[in-house]
Formats: sequence, structure tokens, C-alpha cells
Amino acid sequence: MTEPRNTSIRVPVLARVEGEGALDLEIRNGKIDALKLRIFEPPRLFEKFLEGRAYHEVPDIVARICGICPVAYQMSAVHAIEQAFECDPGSWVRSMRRLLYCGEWLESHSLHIHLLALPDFLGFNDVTAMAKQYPDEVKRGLALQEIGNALVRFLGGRSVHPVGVRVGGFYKAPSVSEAKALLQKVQARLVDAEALIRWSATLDLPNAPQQFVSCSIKHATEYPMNEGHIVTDAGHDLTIDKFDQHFKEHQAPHSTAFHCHLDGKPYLVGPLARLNLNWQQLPDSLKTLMQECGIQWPNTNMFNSIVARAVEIYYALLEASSILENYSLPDSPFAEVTPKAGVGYGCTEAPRGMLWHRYELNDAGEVARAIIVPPTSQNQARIEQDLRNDLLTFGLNNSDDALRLRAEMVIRNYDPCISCSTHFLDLRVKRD
Amino acid sequence: MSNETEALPPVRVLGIGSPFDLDQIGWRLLQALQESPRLMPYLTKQLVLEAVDRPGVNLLRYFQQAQYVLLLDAVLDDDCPVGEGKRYSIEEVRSVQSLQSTHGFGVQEALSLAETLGQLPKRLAIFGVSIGGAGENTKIDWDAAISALAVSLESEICHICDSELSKSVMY
Repeated sequence: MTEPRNTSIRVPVLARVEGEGALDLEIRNGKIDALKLRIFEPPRLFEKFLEGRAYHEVPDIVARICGICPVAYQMSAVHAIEQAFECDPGSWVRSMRRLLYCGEWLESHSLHIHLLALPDFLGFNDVTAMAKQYPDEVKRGLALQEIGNALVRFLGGRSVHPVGVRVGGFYKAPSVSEAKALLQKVQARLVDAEALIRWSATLDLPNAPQQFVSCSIKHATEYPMNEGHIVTDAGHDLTIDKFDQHFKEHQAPHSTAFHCHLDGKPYLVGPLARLNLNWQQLPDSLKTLMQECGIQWPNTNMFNSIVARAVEIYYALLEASSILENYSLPDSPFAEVTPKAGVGYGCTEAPRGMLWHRYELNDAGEVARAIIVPPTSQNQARIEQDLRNDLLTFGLNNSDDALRLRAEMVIRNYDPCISCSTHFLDLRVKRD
Repeated sequence: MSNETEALPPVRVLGIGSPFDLDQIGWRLLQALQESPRLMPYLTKQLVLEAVDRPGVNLLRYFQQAQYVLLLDAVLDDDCPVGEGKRYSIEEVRSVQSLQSTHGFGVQEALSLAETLGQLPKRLAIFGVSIGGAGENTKIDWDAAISALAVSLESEICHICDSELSKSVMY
């Protein structure tokens, strides 16, 4: 029988995640004595930067929080400000915001699956090594990412830090001919998305189910992106203005990013949580495809997050196709807004999960106070909980290298965006 | 990156950088080329000069249907005097440090992936501007250095645009 080990494992810089963080793991007498997801990226202070800024500056400022999910920040912000100003931007703007979000999900999920997560599951150090054996799959992933970029460019003017969004709608409506051309490109990728789902369902993923609370927004008639209530599989059903009655941020000494708890406990946001709570809202064609592939929701194996992302890629293409088929030019691409003092809330589904904003604005429409709770902050406590459970199941007597790789795989399931949250992995394992 | 890359002219000069300190050098050199009267006649149909912010894997999009791609980037190279430019092969790029990347996926990784997937452009040139080695603290007139580098590149770009593009691989 193997003696329980005492060791200290250090992952100094976590690879294939956005931002800078580390993991310290101390094992004593065969048990985890300490586990800390250390986020040392400096605080980025965006909430303070926003104070005193005019409402119309907010969408472009918050877009700079993240290069991967700028649309999510813009969407949560404009919804919150419009709520404060009692502005309804109308159905055209609502559809286009959904289309823009489809682009961001496609771009972010495709990047994560192919460049960040798949090398783990297929046994490669990185995507370049993987591409030697799986060139067609990598090319397919790049093509899916590019159609996401194209959708963001369509409404945002550019794919990184888009500039087309304004409070009330968009600065410009693309032409009908542009929409038609884009529709053809979107529909051409559907076959790739279907193939990706079928392929992801065949991956030999670790089977490591856990108990956790899933949390997302939920809409009465559609798969959630921009609007809805906050729900969990623990029975919560809250309007977004009640978020801070149940969700509390606190400072963990080892992290420059806040940890957020739901009623004092960790919880999960992101594609797996979204599907666990909303899979019934998917189109019948997608449900049939999932059934053919043996994909079932709800699912408590975090490693199935890669399958969840593949499903949402296909959904985003179907949704984008539907919106573009019905595209027409509006009388105006935005609704006029009248600034007034008030408080507004926005909560939308970023690729990595729920993104909550709250703004206090004065009579002139200037920001008096801003609170932003990004998905990676919400997932941090859950990541630490997952690591404790998973590494115990995996076996602490595995080598330091094996523990390090497993820990990185667990963390990457969440696609953490540390740059967003500071507002990855240096794993240090210490065995005494 | 506002353009659809498939509609770009066949000769593409990309200034790679980020807003951080001297990592802007690729952008500044690109800007100097954009202001060059000699290059203006080629713009639109034959030549595009574009600044890109840490493109990561999106760099591969610029290689699609390109005849010639010239990458301008800041490098940390102990063997190249600060403020001077140097040509790099793909092999050399692998051993030279770029400054900023997204998800740890920078120019080196993008070139390696493009090479593996057979998606490198027909001709590729990589021009690095040395911004110093580790711990180096050299004072330099960057405006003058960039002007000199831009002049040295202008003739080459004009020649490329004028000439029948060679089908031989240069990298």
C-alpha cells in the first residue's frame, strides 16, 4: 500500500487562460491542507473609472474590460442604463443585440474549445501540436470562430472592442445586402457546428460528477442571452434587481478578484449551468441532434462544459440565421434616451456566465456609482470547491506533474477570464 | 480589424502591437508608412497597411489569399541594437520574445499554427524592431529611428507592389 504523501505543488503561471493567476496546493498526510486559486493580476479599477463619466461613454469604456467578451459588458451596461432612463429601445434593437451576442458566443466558445480545452483532452501541449494530428478539426474551429467575429463586426464595426453599441441601440444599421451576405456565411457553417457537436460527444472526457448549484438567467420564451430572471436549480427565481439580496462579494486574501457567494455558498455560472437550467428552450432540431449523440441535460460533470459550448455554438448559429433571415432596415437604429437620475440593473449571459451590472446615475446622466460582477468572480469559489473534490477523486498520490495537469484541466473547464475578474496557473503543491 | 480580410489587397503590411509602452512600436512604424507619399498610390488596390492589436489566432485570417505579408513587430533581441530593425525567419521568431499576447497565443504561436495547417501566405517577411534586451535601459530618439526604418521599408514595399509576385516561398 502506498504511503500518504506530503507535498507542495506550485503552478506558477496557468497557461491557456486569459489573465494571470496561480494555484497553491498543500497536501499533508494524504489530505488537502490548503488550496488557493491565487489571482495576482492587479485590480483594474473599472468601476471607479466609470464614476463621473457620462452615460454615453459607458458602453465603450466597459468594452475595454475584456478583449474576448466586450459585447457582454456592453449589453449588461446598456440594459442597466436604459432601465434607469425608462427607455424601451424596441424590437429591432432587441433582435440585433441578440445577434451580436450570438457572435460573441461563437467567437469565445470556438476559441476556448479548440485552442484552450481540446489539447487537454486529446493529450497535446497546445493547439499547434494538436493541429498536426487534427488539422481539419482545428480549421473547422477557426472557421467557427471567424463567423463569430464576422457577426460582431456586422453590428460592432470591428470584432475586438466593438464600437457600434450605444445606449438606446446602435450607431448604424447595416444594409440589407450586408445582412444577406452574412446570412449565407452563417448558414455555411451549420454543417461544421453539427459536426463539432457529434465529435465532442465522442471525446473521452473524465467522468467526475459533482454536486453544485447551477445559476443563470431564464427567459419565458427563449434561450437566455440579454433578458430574464435569475434562477438556480436550488429554487431561486429573482428579478435582477434582487441580485444583491442573495449574492455577496467578498475579498479573499489570496485573490485580487472578489469571490461571490450565493447565500454564503459557491455556485456555477456559464454554459453548463445555462444548459442545465434552460435546455428545454433549445430548438427541436437541436434537441434531436443531442438525443442522437447521447447528450443529456442536466449534467453534473464539469468536464462536459466542452460539450455545452459546442451545443451553444450550434444554437448561436441557428439563432443568428433566424434573425438575419428576417433582417430589415429600421426607421432608426436607436431609440432616443432622456437622462434622469435613477438606478438601473443589467444582467446578461456572457460566454462564461452571468454578468451583472448596477449603475446609479444623476440628473445629467453621469455615473455616480457602478458595480460590476463578472462571471469569473462568481465562479472562483466554485473552482476551488471543484478542485478539492476532483483532486481527491483523481488521487493525491499521483505525481506532482499529473496533479498539476489535472488541476489545470479542471480550471480550464470554467474558461476563466482573470483579466475580467480583477477586477492563471502557477500551481504550488506543498507536501509535509 | 474592421475589414473583411478576403477583400483585402494582395500585399498586406501589418503593424502588430498593443497600447503598452514600447509594444506600440509596430503601430508607430506602420503609421509612418501610412503617411508615406510613395506608398499612397498603391493603397486600396494593391496594398493595405493595417495596425492590429494582439491578433492572436486572428492573424491567420490576414494570410488568406495574400500574395505577400510583411509583419512589423517590437522584439526583445539582445543581438540587435535598440531602435534598429532586423529580418527574422519563422525559426528565429520562435526563439525571440514578443511582448503581448492573448491567452498566451502570440505571433510565434500563430505562425507555427499557420505553418502546421499549411496556411502561411505565399510570401512572408517578418521585420522586428529591437526595443532592448532584458534589463536594458537605452535612451533613444524613437521618432528618428522610426522615420529611418520607414524609409528603409518603403522601397521594398514599392518594389513588391510593382513587380510580378514571385511564386517561390521566401520564408
